[in-house]
Amino acid sequence: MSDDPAIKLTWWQWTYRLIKIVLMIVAAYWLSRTGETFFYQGF
Amino acid sequence: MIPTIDLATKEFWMTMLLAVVLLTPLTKATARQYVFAAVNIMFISLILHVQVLWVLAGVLCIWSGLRILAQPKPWRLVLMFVGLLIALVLFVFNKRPDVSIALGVGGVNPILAAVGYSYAMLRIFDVGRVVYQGGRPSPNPVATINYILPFHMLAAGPIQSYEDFYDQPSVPDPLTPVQALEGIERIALGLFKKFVVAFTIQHVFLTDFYVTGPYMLFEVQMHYIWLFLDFSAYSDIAVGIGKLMGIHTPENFDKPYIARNMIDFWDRWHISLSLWIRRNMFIPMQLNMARKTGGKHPLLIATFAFTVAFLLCGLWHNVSWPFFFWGAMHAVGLVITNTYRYWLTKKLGSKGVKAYRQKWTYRLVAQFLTFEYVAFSLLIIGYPWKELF
Repeated sequence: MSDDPAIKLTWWQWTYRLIKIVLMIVAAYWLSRTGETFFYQGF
Repeated sequence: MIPTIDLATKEFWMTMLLAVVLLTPLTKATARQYVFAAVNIMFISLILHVQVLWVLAGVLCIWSGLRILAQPKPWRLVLMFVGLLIALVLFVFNKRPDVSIALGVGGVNPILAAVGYSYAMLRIFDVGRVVYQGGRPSPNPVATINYILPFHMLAAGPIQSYEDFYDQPSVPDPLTPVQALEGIERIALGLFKKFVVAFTIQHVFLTDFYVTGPYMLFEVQMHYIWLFLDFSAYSDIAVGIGKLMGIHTPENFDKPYIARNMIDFWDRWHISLSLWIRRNMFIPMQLNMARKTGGKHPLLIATFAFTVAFLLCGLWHNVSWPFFFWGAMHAVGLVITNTYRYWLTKKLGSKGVKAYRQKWTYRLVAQFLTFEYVAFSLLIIGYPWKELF
């Protein structure tokens, strides 16, 4: 991750990254509904 | 029933949203401190309800103890040992709820579980040591809450050092849209790793080692990959949330699967725990013994420090024989690496070692051996031993 506040993104970089975020969250949400606990029981 | 800090609940994500919305516009350090403490306590109260008062009482005790530790009084050493003893007893209760139930104090179990006590305890030890040594001033009650009980680091760390917590800017730079995107991206990546990739590996390939024969060898590899994805997902989420809130949250993993020896592995796996062990166990033990022996036998001292530190590290994960032996196996790996490094430097000199390390064939073999060593160490804690006995 970048800590440089000056970094700018083009509109297509924004679009690509936002779509990626949405897809990752939707996939995770869909599978998490199977009832698996999020907490790793080992620790 | 003992609660777990379940990140897949709406309470957790509502708390995160509230924290980001409230903290982002705040530009006054005190206001940020109070709001973050309120959010942290609110999150625990959503799990514990009225029992959150016990947590607040505990924080008050820790804060008072730290204030005493910060003063150069001769009897503060006694206080430190008493505090250490109480913390360890609570730790045993946290890891072995059956013990506290047998002793008639089972009521403490849900409280310890709700605050992620095993991680909180390491933070308490860290702040205790730093304050005792005069490294930083003791925290005020609000900072005590924020350091020991940050809601996004309760479930699985990272374990922030007190120095790092104290030194972070009290008011961060304003969050830019790109930084916000990166924070959200990191959270999404964590969710994807946990619920999609790790979940799929677990359900398609893992049998909890009930299958024997060649498949078991394959499962050993997949088990390591699964654990890495599952565990590092928590850190991704915590780091992403920290980024959005402007609360520094340390990184916990750095491609551990490419480590070329066990020392390198612990520089890449659960980094915040590894650094905690270094600060609070390994270095103090090493310094103390070096002073007593006048700097002689450095290899022997390092061997002793690695062994003690990693046996305790195993028991910290779980008070059980499999975790004890897991810790022992890592201690052996670290001792072998350290001894080999010592012997190699003596034989080849530092230039020779550098040339040796640059050979890609050696690197590849070392990486493969380290990967397998770690994967088989995890078999010790994943194997269903109870079925055998």
